[in-house]
Amino acid sequence: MELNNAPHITIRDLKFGYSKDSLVLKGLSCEIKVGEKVAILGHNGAGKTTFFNVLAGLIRNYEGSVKLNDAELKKLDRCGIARKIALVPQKHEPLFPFLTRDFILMGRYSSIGLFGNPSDKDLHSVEKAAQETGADRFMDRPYNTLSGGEMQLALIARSLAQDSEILILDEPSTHLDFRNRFIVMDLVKKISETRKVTLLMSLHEPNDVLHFADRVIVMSDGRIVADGKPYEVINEKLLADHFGIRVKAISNDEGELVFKAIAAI
Amino acid sequence: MRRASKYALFTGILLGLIYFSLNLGNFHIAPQKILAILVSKIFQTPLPEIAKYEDVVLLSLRLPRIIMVLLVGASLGVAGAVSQGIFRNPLVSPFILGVSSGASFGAGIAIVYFSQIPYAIDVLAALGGFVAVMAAFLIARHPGGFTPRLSLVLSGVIISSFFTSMVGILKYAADTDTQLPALTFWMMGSFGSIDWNSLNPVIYVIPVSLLLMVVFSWQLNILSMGDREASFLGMETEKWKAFFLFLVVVSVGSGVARCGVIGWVGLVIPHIARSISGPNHNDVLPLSAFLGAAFLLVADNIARAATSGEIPVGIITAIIGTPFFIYFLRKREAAIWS
Repeated sequence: MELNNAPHITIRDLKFGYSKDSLVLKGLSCEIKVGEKVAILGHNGAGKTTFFNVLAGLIRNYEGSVKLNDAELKKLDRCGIARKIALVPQKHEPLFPFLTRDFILMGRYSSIGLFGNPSDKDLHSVEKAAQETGADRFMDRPYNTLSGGEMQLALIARSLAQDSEILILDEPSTHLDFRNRFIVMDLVKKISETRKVTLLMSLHEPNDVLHFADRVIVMSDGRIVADGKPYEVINEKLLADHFGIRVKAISNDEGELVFKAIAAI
Repeated sequence: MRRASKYALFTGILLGLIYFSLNLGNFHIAPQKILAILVSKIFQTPLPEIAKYEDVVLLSLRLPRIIMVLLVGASLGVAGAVSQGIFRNPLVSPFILGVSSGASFGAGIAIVYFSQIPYAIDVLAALGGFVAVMAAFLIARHPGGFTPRLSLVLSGVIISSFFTSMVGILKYAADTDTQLPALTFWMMGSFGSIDWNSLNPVIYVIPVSLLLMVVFSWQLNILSMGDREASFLGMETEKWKAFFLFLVVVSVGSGVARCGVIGWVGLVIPHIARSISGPNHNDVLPLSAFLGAAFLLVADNIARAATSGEIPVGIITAIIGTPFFIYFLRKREAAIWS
């Protein structure tokens, strides 16, 4: 896909902590360009989810600057942010048995108006999102009766229904089995190609990063420690230094680089 | 119009129940006379041949009491459904959140210290409920700007027990001959002393606040996704929560001021409503209003007709509500409760 060089999100010295004496984000700076597919790689507790919470407008009392196009994020209202940025959470814990159709419709919150009466445009966005993800197969089943893989597809469909320019996925495959992991990751790849969205995705697994991203930002302990093309950035030393794991790089039959974990350090 | 016919059915059932309740009481009035008295009152035609006091008993004692029961029952059902949606927790109700105990403390102060001032009990009850829920809200509020569900429930329980013990202290200050019996009886919830005057603020406050909650029920669907998800879907979660909490406090508080603390309705009714109508709050709220009203009317009928005296209705709702809730607790998948 052709990359536009305009910065979509500009982050300067972003700092945030839930309490005064311990910062979770210790000064992040980076630029995400329109149409980029960026993976955020980081160990548990590196600050990935907090970073996404800032980007999705949940956290407003951050220090530094986060600009969406040219507007400072904390000055935008949440509806305004939701029309530009959609976030897929790791998991949705269902409480009430909403039908998948109604669940996906909630993605239209920022456009639908105060009383929740969907317009034709809202319903069209829902149908389109459901077809793209395959959620159209179980639209009339309650969300809490879906399998883990189906739940993740419905979650992604809800975010797609937002029709946003930027899509953020928080560890989209963490809770899934081997097959569903493939289905979800493949879907994400397909979406990034057909929808031309700017994609940010946090991942645990270096091999997924090599596969699905054209840029990786490595976070460790609230800082960005590396940023660049996945094949150039991810290597044995980085994984040893920041993830505490000794790996071996192998080329597979198709000439792709694969990291094999050897031992925890 | 399946929804319209459903509402017609519920209205019919409720009207039947109201008519039955009008018949109930130690003072016997023939059923056809009840209808005749009501018709003559509504259409301003001359009263039919009746025995002495029959119209007084019917129109000044039974009718206002039944109207109050319906209003309070509906408000408790809806307030329960709303709080369960906001806090993503099927085990909360206005009582868990401290609204009722705060309101009862406010009303208790009015009974003991300001019994001469009109409407002091209504104002102080709403104020007490508001203080209690705000205290719970602020204690539970996360520095990140959102309010975690579990912390709020816990702080509600803490605030609740604080205000309950404050009411206990009030009992010592109360006059043992007049105020203490009133305080004790009222603490258990009762419609025994309702007349047209006591309906005064309630008959406006409850319908208006219920209507507002129903009109904005789509927002509750989103809130029930949880604070974090609702926020990134675009919702100003804190503002909407405050909006709904305010209406819950005002409607529940105005009921508590007149009738005391009545438990279990707000906890049980929304579960029954959801099992009939599905999870959409647009259906759950009106249905909770209907079911809450009907349930409390049945409970109050038992309270006033089961014995020659009068049992506090709060005791009846607890006796009916507990096994019902245990049944739901056992029947539902464990995942919902974890």
